[in-house]
Amino acid sequence: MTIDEIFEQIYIKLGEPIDGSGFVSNTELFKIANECQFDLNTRTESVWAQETKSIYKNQWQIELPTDIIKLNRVLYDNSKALIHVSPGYMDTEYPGWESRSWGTPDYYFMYDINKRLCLDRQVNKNTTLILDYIKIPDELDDVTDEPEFDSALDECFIIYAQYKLSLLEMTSDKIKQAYSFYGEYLNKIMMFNDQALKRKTGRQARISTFTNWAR
Amino acid sequence: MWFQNIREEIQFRLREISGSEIFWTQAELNTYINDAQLDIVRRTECLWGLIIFNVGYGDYAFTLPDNVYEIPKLRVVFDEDNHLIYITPNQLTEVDDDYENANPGTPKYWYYRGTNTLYIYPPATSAEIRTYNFSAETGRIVRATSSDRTYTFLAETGRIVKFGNMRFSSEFGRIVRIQPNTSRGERYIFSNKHGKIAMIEDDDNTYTFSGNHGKIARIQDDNSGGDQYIFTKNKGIIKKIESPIGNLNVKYVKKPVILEDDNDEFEIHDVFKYAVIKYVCYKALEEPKESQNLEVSGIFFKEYADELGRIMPVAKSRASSRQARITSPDLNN
Repeated sequence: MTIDEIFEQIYIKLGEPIDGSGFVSNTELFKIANECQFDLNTRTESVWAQETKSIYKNQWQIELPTDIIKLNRVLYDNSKALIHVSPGYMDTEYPGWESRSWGTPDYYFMYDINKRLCLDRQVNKNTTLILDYIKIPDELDDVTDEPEFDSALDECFIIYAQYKLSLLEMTSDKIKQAYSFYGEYLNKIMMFNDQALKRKTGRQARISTFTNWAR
Repeated sequence: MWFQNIREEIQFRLREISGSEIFWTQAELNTYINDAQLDIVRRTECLWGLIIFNVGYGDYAFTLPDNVYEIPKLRVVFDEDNHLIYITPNQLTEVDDDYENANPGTPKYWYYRGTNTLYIYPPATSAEIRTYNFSAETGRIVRATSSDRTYTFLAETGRIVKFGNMRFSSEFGRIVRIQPNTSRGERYIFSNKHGKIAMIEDDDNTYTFSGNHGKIARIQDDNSGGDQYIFTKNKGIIKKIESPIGNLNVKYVKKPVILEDDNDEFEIHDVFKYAVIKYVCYKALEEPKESQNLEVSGIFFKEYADELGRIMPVAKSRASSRQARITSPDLNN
């Protein structure tokens, strides 16, 4: 569904003209839609990205992409997944780690969140770090844009807009309504996440059934 | 993430029109926005700063910059890899009754006494003769060589890196190997400007490279008396300096820069954009005036806390061993 189609649904629910000429405009809905997709991605972790960064001999830090929400995997030299630790862990477990000899890193950590990634030692060759991360979705600013999410979550955009617009009214009735929309929004996400989980466990179940049958 | 842009997003959520504000002036919202980024830094420790002090013989007190919020327990490092242990003055009294008059030695502990000064115990001394180098980029002295190790300062990362016959070229972002033919007494140095290694054909004097002037400067001293020299950027001459014996590297959680101008950019990452918006809405609606709406304010606060909670798995990488909070010192200790 394009964002235009989603907006149309919202206008219908609100009883407003679908061209955005009523009390609520497309400008407002874009703001809400962008907030919604950020919120959705922190809850469903649906939109991922991968980036390959070069790292040179003797380097131990790299700049991270600017659109990271959460870094999920750091693969060194196409072969080794590094372990995420805190800077405090390094200081406690490996005092003097700054002077460790060059080599293959085992750990990564961050000081400035999402800005710079540090390794536990300087690398001993020119190679790459592959970063898998949950990203801040691309901004929606054109009516032909399509959210990067599974279409099962399209409805969430509509409910979230209803929630936010009710909240903006700030009257007791509207606040009650807002609570109700928010609950519905969270339920939809929970169902989506449950189904995603079931899909995974479903595959495992089939394998174990097959194993039993083979026995 | 720009100041004005975020303020306008907030105004939309408060049903205000930029330029025709009714309930909240821009100045009020600006204050809340600055409060928001500080609150986020407090909760997530998402901004860090670094300061490196040159340490002279007997030095023990160091004035911290104003933007220090908190220093993790093990993040005060003497001489590149000696992580000092945080201790309270009370605990230190148990170690040494007269700790304020201790003889110099190898620093082991660090502590606060007052809000803005960091102390080390015992005062610094050095067992070995070391030489130092000047980093023109940062204006700091760094240790260059010891009896068996060579160091340089990596301006990009603010760290000292150790290597053998290597030098770091900040221009090319690479370490280059220096391959002297020691049997012929050749020595080399890397010229940042020209991107080449130049041989120094003089055994009787030592040399350094002035990045500013793109020239090799001769240091006319054999260091036998422990004298040290520095290259002055302005005058382009070498002058003698008091020898530092090491450095103190302090990595800390920093307070964000206060945003004032509409075009100011947030220091915190974009991932906190909506958290800032929600925090300001919560604060604005909580304000005791006509526009007050505690119920909606509470919803915004819940959203704020909830959102940070979801982003916090990233923030869990914060130093787990943090303690000494400078903004609220325990003066009884």
